[in-house]
Amino acid sequence: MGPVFWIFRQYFLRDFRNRFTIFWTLVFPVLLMSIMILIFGNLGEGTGINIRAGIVDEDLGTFSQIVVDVFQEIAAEEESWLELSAVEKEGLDAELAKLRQGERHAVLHLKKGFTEDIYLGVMEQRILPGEVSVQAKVAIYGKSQSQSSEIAVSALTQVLQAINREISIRSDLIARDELVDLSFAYVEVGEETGQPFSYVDYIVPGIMLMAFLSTGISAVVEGITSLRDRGILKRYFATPISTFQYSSGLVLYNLCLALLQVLLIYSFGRFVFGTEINPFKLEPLMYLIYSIIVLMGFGLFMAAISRTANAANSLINIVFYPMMFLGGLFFPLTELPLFLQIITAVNPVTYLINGLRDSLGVFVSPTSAFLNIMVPMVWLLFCIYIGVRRFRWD
Amino acid sequence: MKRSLVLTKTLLLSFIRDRQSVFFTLALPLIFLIIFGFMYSGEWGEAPDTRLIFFGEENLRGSKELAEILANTERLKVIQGESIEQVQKEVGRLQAHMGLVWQGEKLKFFLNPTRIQNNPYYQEIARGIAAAFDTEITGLLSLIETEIKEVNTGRVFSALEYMLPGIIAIAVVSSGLFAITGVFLHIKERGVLKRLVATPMSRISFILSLMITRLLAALAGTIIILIFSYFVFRVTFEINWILFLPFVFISTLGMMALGVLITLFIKRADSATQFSGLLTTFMIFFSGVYLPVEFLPDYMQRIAVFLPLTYVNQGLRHAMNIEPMPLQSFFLMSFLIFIVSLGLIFTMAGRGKWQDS
Repeated sequence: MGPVFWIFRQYFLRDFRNRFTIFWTLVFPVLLMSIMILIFGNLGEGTGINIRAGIVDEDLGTFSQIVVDVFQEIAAEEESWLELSAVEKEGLDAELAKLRQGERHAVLHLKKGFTEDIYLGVMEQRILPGEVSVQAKVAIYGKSQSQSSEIAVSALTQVLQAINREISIRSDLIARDELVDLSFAYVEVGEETGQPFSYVDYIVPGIMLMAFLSTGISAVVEGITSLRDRGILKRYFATPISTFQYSSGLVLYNLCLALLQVLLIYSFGRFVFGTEINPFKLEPLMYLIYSIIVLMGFGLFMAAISRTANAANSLINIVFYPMMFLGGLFFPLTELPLFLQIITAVNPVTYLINGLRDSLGVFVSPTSAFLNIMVPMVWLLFCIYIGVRRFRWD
Repeated sequence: MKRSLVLTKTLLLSFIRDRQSVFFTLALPLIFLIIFGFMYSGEWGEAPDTRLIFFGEENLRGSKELAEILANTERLKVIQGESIEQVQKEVGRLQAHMGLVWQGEKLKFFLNPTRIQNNPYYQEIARGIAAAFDTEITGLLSLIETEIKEVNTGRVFSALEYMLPGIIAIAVVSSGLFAITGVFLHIKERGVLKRLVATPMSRISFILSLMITRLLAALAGTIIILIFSYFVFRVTFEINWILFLPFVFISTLGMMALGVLITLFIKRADSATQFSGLLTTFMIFFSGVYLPVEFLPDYMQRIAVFLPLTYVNQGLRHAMNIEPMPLQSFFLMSFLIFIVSLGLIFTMAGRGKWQDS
């Protein structure tokens, strides 16, 4: 046990004396999690962005003023999604120039004759229900191929539709209770808790696995290959320490580091963002241990097939990013082209994260429990087989 | 002149043999291109059909009209569901994009909360269906005619083309930044620079050779990305080469200057390389490469203003005719980057310590 603990201590001191290693293994996952939650945590609610809109009211009539008042009321609400940058009586060109420059997401143009056309439309429908030949003209300008502008145009259109309904109701063209209610509901995707879906609960296990990916692959591969290149590993085995003891020390260190990462990510997720998951129950804990072992196996495989530390670094980067992005760690991966579906299907991270989220009750796994265990297991056995046969300690 | 050519050749060979440099300059941007290229190919072009699973009890008010509206909605594939539970299950398992239940009084749409980025689009479809249904059932006609107009700020392009400048920017950053924090500091630490300075070679020659090497590397990375995106993703370009090529060079110089700034605070090569990697990751997140800056919370958008990659991205988008900016602003930005970069780089050449103490 002595040599194993001694190797553990060597790795611990080497890594925890290097502030950059501390940053990448402990701080970066927490930072990334925070960024993802701050960006995507509210994206499903409301418009997701603050819309800067301008209104040009060339009509200056009763109904155009009602439209302007409605938008001003929305903009005045606390934490409103709308920022009404300007309400002009003329100067559409100036507003469009600001739209082009990005100072506006959308511009609403109430054309001359708006109020008069509303009156005419109401009268026409009272006399001839179901017929409309006169409609009040409104133009909404957006910037082509700008996602935020598309959202802004859509949001303004919805408000106008609501105003249209309200005018129709108050003009007695239609009764309020005749209209069909529209509602949206999110389905339960995890355990039935009655609580709404939380992106925080979804992303926390993804960040944990990303941290393991970094530890299991980068740290293991870089650690071993750089020591091998510098001839240090060779010197270790001139001592009585066996390869088994060395490997055990390395595995023990990585398991402890993984535990530290889980504690840090979970604590931050819990006390700062309020995650409800509990990774310390038996099933998720087993998945976490399984994940780190599989990923360390991957690390061993890459160390075995790389002759130098430099080659290993390149290989890590070629493998790391696709495994991360195409493993479903941050978002569910759907509608992928065939080529990417194949990569996702063979990626062990896909099954590990599905199993982990399922065990935490966050998201029902789209892949079966059998595959969630077997696919990573096949990879693990393959990596160990190649690693043991090809790995050279010097 | 001959000495400079020899030095340039040496540095170029050194770059080609350094797998890590080649990876970050050439391979990493390609990996991003492949991943995002396949993910986004088709967006803003042909969107895939939206799968909607519908359950509505027959013989209810509006059932027939609703079925007709769904059948006539463009790009909507309707799957018939047997029950509300089935609708929820299919949406939950990501088999359907959205679900709809009609029981005579309320149109209830079901969405999967994990489809964060696409749900606003599905909600838009739902509102369109609801508006058409209202008209059919109640006779509600629109008193307001809304005309949607687009202000074109450039030519028509796909989502992948919009991301291309950001991917090229990664190659530029890697090439320029790591030239100083990776190569320069490492050879300084190993004492190679000290020996070079003892030869008749001037410091300026060395810096010029390093600059030429990295400019060529950035250019190679850029061309590989453009060729790959053309042949694999059929991306078409309308590049203003007169602006584009000089801007790639100027941006590479700018990133080298950033490397010089880093070396003022971080003297050790390993630490500087690590810090550069960290800074690159940070810049990629906050400069609009992965996600448009406007989707970031307000306080995060303010960070983008201070990041060099934001301006590299903007300049490349202008030169690639994707998001034009006022020409004066483009030239002013390029000029400032060029002058400041040259100033910093040549100050390091003239006054910097080339020996490790």
